[in-house]
Amino acid sequence: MHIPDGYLSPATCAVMGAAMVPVLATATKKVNDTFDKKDVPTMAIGSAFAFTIMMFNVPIPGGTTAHAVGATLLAIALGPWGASISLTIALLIQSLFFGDGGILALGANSFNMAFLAPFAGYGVYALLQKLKVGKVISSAIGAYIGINAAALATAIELGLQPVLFHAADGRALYFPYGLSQSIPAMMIAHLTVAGLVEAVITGLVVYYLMRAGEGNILYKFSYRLRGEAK
Amino acid sequence: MSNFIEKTVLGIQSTFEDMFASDEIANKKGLMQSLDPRVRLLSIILLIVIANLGNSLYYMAIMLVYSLILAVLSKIPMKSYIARISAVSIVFTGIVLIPSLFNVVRPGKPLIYITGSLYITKGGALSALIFIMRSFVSLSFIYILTLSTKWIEILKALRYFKLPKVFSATLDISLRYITLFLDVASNMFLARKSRSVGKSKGKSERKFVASSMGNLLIKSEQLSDDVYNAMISRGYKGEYKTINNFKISRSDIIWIIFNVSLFMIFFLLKGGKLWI
Repeated sequence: MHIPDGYLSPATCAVMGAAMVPVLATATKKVNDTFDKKDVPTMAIGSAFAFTIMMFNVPIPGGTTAHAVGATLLAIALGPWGASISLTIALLIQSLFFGDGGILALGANSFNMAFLAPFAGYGVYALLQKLKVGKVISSAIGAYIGINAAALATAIELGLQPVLFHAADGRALYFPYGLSQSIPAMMIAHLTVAGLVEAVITGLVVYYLMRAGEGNILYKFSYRLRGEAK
Repeated sequence: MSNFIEKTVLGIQSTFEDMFASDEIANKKGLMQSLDPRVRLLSIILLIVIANLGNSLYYMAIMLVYSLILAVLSKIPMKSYIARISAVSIVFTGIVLIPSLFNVVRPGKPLIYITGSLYITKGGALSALIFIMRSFVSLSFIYILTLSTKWIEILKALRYFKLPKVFSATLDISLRYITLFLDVASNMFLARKSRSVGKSKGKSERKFVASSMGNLLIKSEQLSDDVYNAMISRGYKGEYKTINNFKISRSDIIWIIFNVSLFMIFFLLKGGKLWI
C-alpha cells in the first residue's frame, strides 16, 4: 500500500502533506499535554516495532506470503495519537532510508496508514469493547476495518489522478486509472486477502498476549497517551 | 512451506546489508559525499520535486541522464543500483501500467493493433513510458541519497530542519532500535526454522508469526523501560540535545550555483515548454 513517487501529482502530494500537518500537530499536542518523559522512548520503540513487524512474512493459503501493517495493534497499545506519530516515523524511515514508499508521497502514505488506519481501527475496537465484545474479536474486526479504510483512501487518491491531471489530448499525466478501476482493484485485494491477514494476525497477537498473561500490556503501555487516568 | 521463514530472514538480512553498504559507499570520495549532509538532503528532495513536475519525454530523459551521472560521480555501484531501482520502477510499475496501454481502458489514437478492435494507444504508451521514467528517476535520487550518506548524517540533517522535538527524538531513538529488533526477529525466525522438520500447517505458521509479534511487543515494553532508565541515569530531563557540527564548504556553493543555473536554463528553454 506504500505509494511510490511518480504515481501521484506533486499537487496531490502537497495536499495530502498539508492534511497530515494538523493531524501531527494535534498528535504532538495530545502527547505533549499528557507528556511524560517516558513517552519519547515508548513511541520510538513503538515505531521500531512497527517497522520490524512490517517485515514479517505471513504465510497465506495458496503458498504465497503477505505482510501485516500492524496499525490497529499499535493504536491499541499506544493509543491512536501515539500510534500515528510512531507509524509516521516508521513510514519516514522506510521511504528515506530504504526507498520503500515515496518521499513526496509520504504525506499521502502517512495519511492512509498512520492516520486513517489506526484511528478507524481503534475506533471500531473501542466501540466493540463498549459493547462487551471480547478483546481478540474486537481487535481483529478493528484491524480489518482499519486496513480497508486505508486501502480505500489509497484507491481514491490514485483514482483521482487521471480525473484531475491530464494533458490537453486526454492523456493521463500521473496514475492512469480512474476511480472506477482503482477502487475495485484495491478493495478486492484488501477486502479479501490483505484485510483478513491483518485481522487474523492482529487477533492472534492479542490472543497470544492474553494467553501469555501479558494482556495488560495493551493498557499499561499507554494509559496516559490514551488520556485515561491510571 | 517454510519459505515464509526464509523470506523474512532474507529480508532482514538484506536490510542489514543495505545499512552496511551505505556506510561503505558513504566513505568513498564522490560528488555527493563532498557535500554537506543538509545540502544533500535538501537537494535530493528538490530534485525529486523537479522531476515530478515534468511531463514531457525530453525532460524525463534529461532527468534520467542527470540522475545516472550523479550516481556515477558519487561512486555508487551501478549494477546493483540499477537492478534495485528497476525492480520497483520498471518491473512493478510496468506490470501495473500494462492495462493502461490499451484502448479498452483509456481510449486514444491507435499505435499498434493487437486485434481488430483492441489496440495499444499512442497516448497510453507515451504516458506509461514517461510514468516509468519518472518513477525510475525519483527512486534513483532517493537511493543516491541513502547510499552516499551515513544514516547518522541524514538524522543530523533532519534535526537541523527543526522537526518538533517529539519527532526528532523519536526518530533518533527508533532508528537505533530497529537494528536491535531486526536482529531479535531474525533470531526468532531462525530458531523456528532450526526446530522445524517436514511440513507445517499454514494455521500454525500464522500462529507463530503472531506470537513472535506479541513476544516482540512484550520485549518492546521492557526495552522502553530500560531505555528510559538509561536516559534518566545519563541526566535526561525531558529535553533532547544533540551536537551538530555542519560546515558549508566551497563544493556546496559550487553545487548549488551549478544546479540553480542548470534548472533555470531548463525552465527557460523552448519558452518554458520543455518540461510540460
